[in-house]
Amino acid sequence: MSDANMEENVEQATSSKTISLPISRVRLIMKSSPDVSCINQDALFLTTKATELFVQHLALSSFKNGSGKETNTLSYSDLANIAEETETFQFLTDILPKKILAREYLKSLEEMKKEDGNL
Amino acid sequence: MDVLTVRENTTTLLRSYIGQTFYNKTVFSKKQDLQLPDGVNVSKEARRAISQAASVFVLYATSCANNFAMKAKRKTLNAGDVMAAMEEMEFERFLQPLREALEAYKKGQKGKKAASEQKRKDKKKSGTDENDKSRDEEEDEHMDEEQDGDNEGEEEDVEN
Repeated sequence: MSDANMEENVEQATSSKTISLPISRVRLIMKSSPDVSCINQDALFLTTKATELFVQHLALSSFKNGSGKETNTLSYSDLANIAEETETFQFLTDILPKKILAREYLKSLEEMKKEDGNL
Repeated sequence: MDVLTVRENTTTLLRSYIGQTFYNKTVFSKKQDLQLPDGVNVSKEARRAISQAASVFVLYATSCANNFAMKAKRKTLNAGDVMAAMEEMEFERFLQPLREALEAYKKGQKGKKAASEQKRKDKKKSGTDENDKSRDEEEDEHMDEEQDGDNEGEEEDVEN
């Protein structure tokens, strides 16, 4: 093989290396599912890459939809909002609950009690 | 199994494995990880939430993909399962970039193999300069990382 060829190969190797997430940790999380026994290398790579895309997608869309455009900040509430509003992010609502004040929560609890009483 | 059950499974799983999140100081501390426009500050809370969301995403994707594997009575998760899972999760937008990434990755793997063979030859000749050596060493580390994975499934997918 010629030197030029090899250089090309090295370049390709580094371009596929663009994953910034730790692969071993992704594997750890994947393996923590009880039904999963074996994970193909390609599947592991794809999941890692997908997670990376997902994180970027989540961050960007919450920033665009969020309130912090003027101040150039991405805050928790932007994330919680997007999780609630966007269908594809619905599975995040458990991990990204909207923050509400305790007194509002208590109020809603009371209202629920009243409704129960009326029934 | 429908998506809702999968979602429930994922949440229960997450509760027990909450310790295994991506959260540490190094992950997502770089701006380029999030690909946000320049000068955007991400609050600490948001950062943590994002890394937790990433962990949930991995679990969700794994359990979706595993369903496809189980349907086909396979024990090993393969690339096709992950792709099918992405579709099921309505992340079709990821399919194309993922396909490209996988192709690049496979090419890279082949390149690495060729490069390490080349390296062996070079070692016999012992005619490499410093620069090349350090590059080769980097690649070696990567190969080690991959080898401790599951090798069982690898053969199935070689043809694709």
